[in-house]
Amino acid sequence: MSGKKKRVFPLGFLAVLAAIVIAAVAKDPAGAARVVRQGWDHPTVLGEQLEVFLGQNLPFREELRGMVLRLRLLGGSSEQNGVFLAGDGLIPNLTVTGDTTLHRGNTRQILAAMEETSSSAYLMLIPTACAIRQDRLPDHVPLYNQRGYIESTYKQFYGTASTVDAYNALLYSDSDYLYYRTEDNLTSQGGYALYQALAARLGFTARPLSQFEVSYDVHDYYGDLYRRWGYGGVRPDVIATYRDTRGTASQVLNWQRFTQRTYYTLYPREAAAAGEPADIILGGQAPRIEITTPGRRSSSLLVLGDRTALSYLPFLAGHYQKITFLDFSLLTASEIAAFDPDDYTQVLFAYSLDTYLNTEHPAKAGELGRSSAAE
Amino acid sequence: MHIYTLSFLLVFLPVSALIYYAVPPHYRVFTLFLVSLYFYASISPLGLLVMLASVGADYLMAKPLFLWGKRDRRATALLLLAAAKNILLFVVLSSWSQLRDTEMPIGVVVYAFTSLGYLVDLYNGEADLAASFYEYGLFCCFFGKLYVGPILAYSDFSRQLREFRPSLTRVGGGVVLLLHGLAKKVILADALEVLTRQLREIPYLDKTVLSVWLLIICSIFQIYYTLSGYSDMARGIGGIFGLELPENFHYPLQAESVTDFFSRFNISANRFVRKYVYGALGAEDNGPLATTLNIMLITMLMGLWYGIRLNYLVWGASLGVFIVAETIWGDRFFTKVPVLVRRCYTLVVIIVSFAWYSSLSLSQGLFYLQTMFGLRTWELLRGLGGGGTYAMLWSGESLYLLSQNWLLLAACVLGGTNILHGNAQRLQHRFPRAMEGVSLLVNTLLFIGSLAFLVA
Repeated sequence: MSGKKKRVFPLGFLAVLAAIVIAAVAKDPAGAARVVRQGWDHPTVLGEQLEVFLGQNLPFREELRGMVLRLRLLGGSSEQNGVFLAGDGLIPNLTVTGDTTLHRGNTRQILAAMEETSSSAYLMLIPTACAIRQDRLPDHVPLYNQRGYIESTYKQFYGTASTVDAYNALLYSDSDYLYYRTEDNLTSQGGYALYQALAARLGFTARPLSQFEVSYDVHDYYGDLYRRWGYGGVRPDVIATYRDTRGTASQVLNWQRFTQRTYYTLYPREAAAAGEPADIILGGQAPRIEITTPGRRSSSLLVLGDRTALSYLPFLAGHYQKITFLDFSLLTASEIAAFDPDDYTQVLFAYSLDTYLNTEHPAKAGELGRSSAAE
Repeated sequence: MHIYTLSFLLVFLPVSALIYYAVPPHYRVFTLFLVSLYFYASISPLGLLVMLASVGADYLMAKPLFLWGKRDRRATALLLLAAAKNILLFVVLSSWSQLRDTEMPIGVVVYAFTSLGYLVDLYNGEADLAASFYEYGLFCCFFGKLYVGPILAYSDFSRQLREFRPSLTRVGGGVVLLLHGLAKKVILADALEVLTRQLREIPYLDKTVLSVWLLIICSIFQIYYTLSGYSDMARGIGGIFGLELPENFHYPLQAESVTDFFSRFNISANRFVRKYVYGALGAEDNGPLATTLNIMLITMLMGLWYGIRLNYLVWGASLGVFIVAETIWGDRFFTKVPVLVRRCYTLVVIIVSFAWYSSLSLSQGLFYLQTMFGLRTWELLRGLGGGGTYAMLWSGESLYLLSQNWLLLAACVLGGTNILHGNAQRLQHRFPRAMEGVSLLVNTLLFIGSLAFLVA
């Protein structure tokens, strides 16, 4: 640089720095005032507070983050924050915590709960997208052996419960759209594949697709995975609903701790309009969902599972008079204790491998029926 | 707040510089000293007290040392006391941080050995007494250089303070260096840290020849870009405040010999050890055996410069063996070999030696070395529950990591040589106006890129 330009450069740089700080302050003046106030009281934390404030309010923050992601993609890295960009969709990598006590505890408690109940017990471990859609992932990517884990776990349940082969059901499904592109969950098509596998075990015949009227109710849906990914390049999802053409009417009770809503359809559009688009299926994820279908045979099913249940529960509704779904991650111990598996004809434990390996929620099965036992 | 954070770059640095240039010239050194103390306090208030106590004690010892001179036994005793204090401070804090599995307080090695070097110079009559405590404090604790130096001589520093002339040109040069250093740290070194961790986390039994070579190469790049990034930022911050700090890393990865590598890698630390240890021991004047011992001693000390760990000591010693060989037989054989061969030899020796530096224990270092050459012993694997005497050449996991990071590694290789810098200088001579624009564009992109990686 020439002498004059070298002299102008630092002044220009200073002006840019000042402009950035002014823009950040203008974006959140109250936050800036809070940082100054707290920094005044505790000078040693001023740097940390300032760092957080600037990180959150930097002008063009999202564009800059997008730029970094784009650069990383350009450099061959198709995995960001544990999520793979696979074609036009996202696939989360299943990372397993090194703490084996978690899933061992889950197996132990579920086995104990199954042995205590007089109802027929079933177990379904559902593989995640990165196992079923390996062909879409980069070459040589190291993956957790989900099939191996499921097989070895199922062996522990021989003689206690019937196991459902979700892995092969999904792997050999005719559908190409088993998992959402922008959410870590199964689509209705994925749910149908599981329903077919479940039917063979639970003792009824799965209805063919021709008996359902498929409707694409939600378009341009972006799920949680998309937000975790933080960068575009992904096609939005379509949420499909499968309505029984025979006109079977089911009633859905979607129980939240402080509110409970009753819908007279499996796919309440009003729930989607009031909340998230994905809530169109059974009113959305909830600690407890009860589906009653009058006129069905008098059997009942207790499903203990996670968010994946939303994909296959609507298909099961036509086969039971009453289905109760419990999500232990959203229930307290006393709430779980109020449910007794003996009150149901069949009990299905159905967890995504992610939930089973990385959380202790399935182990809360040990609490089931404690209230009635105490009485 | 660290020198590679948004709060430093956007607020602390510009505000400090404005205050510095706004106060009357007579108060600038004092102001910069206060700014340095505040900076250190924001990182570690306790570390600040330790630093002030250490530097304060040395300042108190300086005057008697200066007055008594080299011939006075009291001066020798006092110097030994100061040396023991500074070395012990480094050893204790380094060991303590390892035992507690925490990071060592920043700057201990820099301020302790800067101060010790000054006291030795005073003892030898090669330096003047510091004008004031705050000038001495600034010399030891200037916030820009606390991370990795450079280690300064007091005579150079005080001359700069005396001849200080504020200049926007120098500030501009400082900004450019700061941006280069920042980019090295946040764009390259931080990404390499993630990659190195992924490679390290591959289970022992799954480690292959390729994965260990990749791990060691990534470790070298990570260490180089972290340290040289800090060093460039230090020079840049110095330039912004009108101080000229010497270059500390000069493309060490394209050295033509191991001796050359040492003279390019952490230059000021190398000079310090050479001047105060190697020189004091008689350098190469006392025959081949003494030369060998002296070289081995300084290379091992250079290893310990990065922390009190047996692995660093072995790293230094392993390089020392090659330096001894080059010193003794270099003239006869080495100079006749083509440059490309010399560079390849140096690179291989450096990579292999870093197996010690990058590992956490000697047994791990040995394991890395054996795996790098496709060998594993039954003894090592027996404890790990595996078997087999040979390591696999590669695995899917290492190929995957390589394919996911090829651009990063290519950028590191390119940045580790002076190809870009050398060609830019040549073009600067031929097309000065065009290159001004290119330089401005590159620096702007580096700034935007660094900001992006800081918020990503």
